[in-house]
Amino acid sequence: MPKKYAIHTKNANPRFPPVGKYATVEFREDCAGCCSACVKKKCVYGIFKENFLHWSSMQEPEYLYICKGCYRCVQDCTKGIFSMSINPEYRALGDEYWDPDIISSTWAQAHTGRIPVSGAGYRGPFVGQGFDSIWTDMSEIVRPTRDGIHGREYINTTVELSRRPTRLKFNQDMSLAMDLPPILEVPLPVLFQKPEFGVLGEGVLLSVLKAAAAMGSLMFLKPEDYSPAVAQYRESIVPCLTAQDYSEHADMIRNSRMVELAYGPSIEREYSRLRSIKPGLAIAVGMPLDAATADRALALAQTDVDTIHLYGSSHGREVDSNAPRYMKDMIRQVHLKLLQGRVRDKINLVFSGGMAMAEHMAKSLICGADAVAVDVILLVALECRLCYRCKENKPCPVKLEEVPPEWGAQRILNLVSSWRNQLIEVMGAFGIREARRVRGETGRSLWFEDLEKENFGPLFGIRKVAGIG
Amino acid sequence: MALSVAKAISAKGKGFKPRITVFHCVSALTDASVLDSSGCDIQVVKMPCGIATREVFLLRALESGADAVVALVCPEGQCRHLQGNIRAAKRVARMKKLVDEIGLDGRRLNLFNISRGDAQAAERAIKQTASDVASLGPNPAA
Repeated sequence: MPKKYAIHTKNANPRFPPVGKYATVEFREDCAGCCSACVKKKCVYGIFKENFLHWSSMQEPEYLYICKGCYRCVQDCTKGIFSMSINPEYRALGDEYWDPDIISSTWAQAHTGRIPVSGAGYRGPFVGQGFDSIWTDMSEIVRPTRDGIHGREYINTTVELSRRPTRLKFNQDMSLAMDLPPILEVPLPVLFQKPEFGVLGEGVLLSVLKAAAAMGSLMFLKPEDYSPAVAQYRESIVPCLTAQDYSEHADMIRNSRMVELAYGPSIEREYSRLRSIKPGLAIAVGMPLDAATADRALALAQTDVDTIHLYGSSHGREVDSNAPRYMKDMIRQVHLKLLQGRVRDKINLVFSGGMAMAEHMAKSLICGADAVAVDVILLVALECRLCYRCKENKPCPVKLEEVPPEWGAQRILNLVSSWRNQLIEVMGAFGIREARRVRGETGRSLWFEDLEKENFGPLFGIRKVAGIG
Repeated sequence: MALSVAKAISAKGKGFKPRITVFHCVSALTDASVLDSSGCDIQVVKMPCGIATREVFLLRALESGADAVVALVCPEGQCRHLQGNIRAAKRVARMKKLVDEIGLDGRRLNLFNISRGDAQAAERAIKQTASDVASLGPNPAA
């Protein structure tokens, strides 16, 4: 039996105290003194011990990042002396898309490599916008495999980034009468790319590249970001070039498994020249995710391109639009266009922009992506608080410029491992054992808009748009 | 105001910069950086509620070298946890007596009720404490 793919995790402690969510408030005067049965001793996260230690050193103690808000102490205390408080600093983290819960759970995943614990409490409406209006159909969860999805049962998360022939030709003797394109696979539908902003020193880039090399993934990188240290990971780099400058980077191309060209008119003319530099090279074309993307993708799919990389905004939306659509709608549009053109199986689609949670990856696949590329979340894994001070040239509160590559790579590996485990959970519950089969599998999802139309449309006619959010 | 405090400080001993530990409820004082302009050496300990002002930590602050300790809590009736500020006031009152008994002078320990967002009131509280401490001199227990 082939060895199972695994990402090795180990604790990577935060360098700075993370901004925690909950604080416990305690009315000690009312304590019944039942010390042997005290709920403080039962806390599985040991927050009261930490609490005391922080207090005794006169630090700001109470906003303990390790408290998961299970409310055990609040509920089990015989005298009810505990209550919870939310850190106002926590509420101010990030922005409307990169909300505090995403940031905090990413920190926890990057720290431990485990699936985050969401804890108790009201988490807002059951439905939201964008990816939050899709629910995955977990009906197969009632029939789990006997061997367990993390045990002997093998769920394959590998995806391809190389093109596929739509038909095979055989000779009379049944031997293949054509050359098959080489196969480029990544073990997880997650690729990396450099974020648009942030303190992006060499330490950060090396962390991402080390992680990419360790897990067998790829990182999209521009030639100006190359340095001797970065170049050691050339096999994990997809150089992002243009039709004008690729001839200057022949060495880079020879050492890479895949190259990305920026979209331009008649870009297909460059493929043969690129493949003359390195035979069998996989070629991706990068383009913004805008209103014309679907038509451009259909035209490109007729050519010998392997992958189309579509760049959305960092907030998971269409770019260059006054009313930007959500990533899920854009993925769906491009995917369906290629299906109608009967070329969907030929090429691969990688979407990037605003991929913030493991569920975004799974839902992107359901909508029709082959893989996703992540960027901002990599910074968050390295403790970024998304305070955007770097955009104003102010110092970074967590000193991202000093990230040690070993530590940073481990944080990213932990995060990706947690995402993979979540993908496996979802696929197990779908009853699907191949990540490639999840692509466009909308039958395994429930869409709020459709359900609302189906159930309430006959009663209320055209639905109210203001309802959700 | 800042000038009068500075005068008081210089009157007691030249070069004496009072060290004040401030325990504050986050609902009462949202941004502790407003205290920086008081001219004192301020150490801030942020708390989720005034109830977290424990006796032992008030004393530990004095023991660790603070010339004064200030607790800033919400006004009565405005505590998110209903009684946090009232209990904090009782604890501070108890500790004031204790500090008096051991000869450190209870004026080194104060509690002020600050309405949410009233940064000026917080600044006034610190300056008042600083002027009291200026007359008392450095903490002999430090």
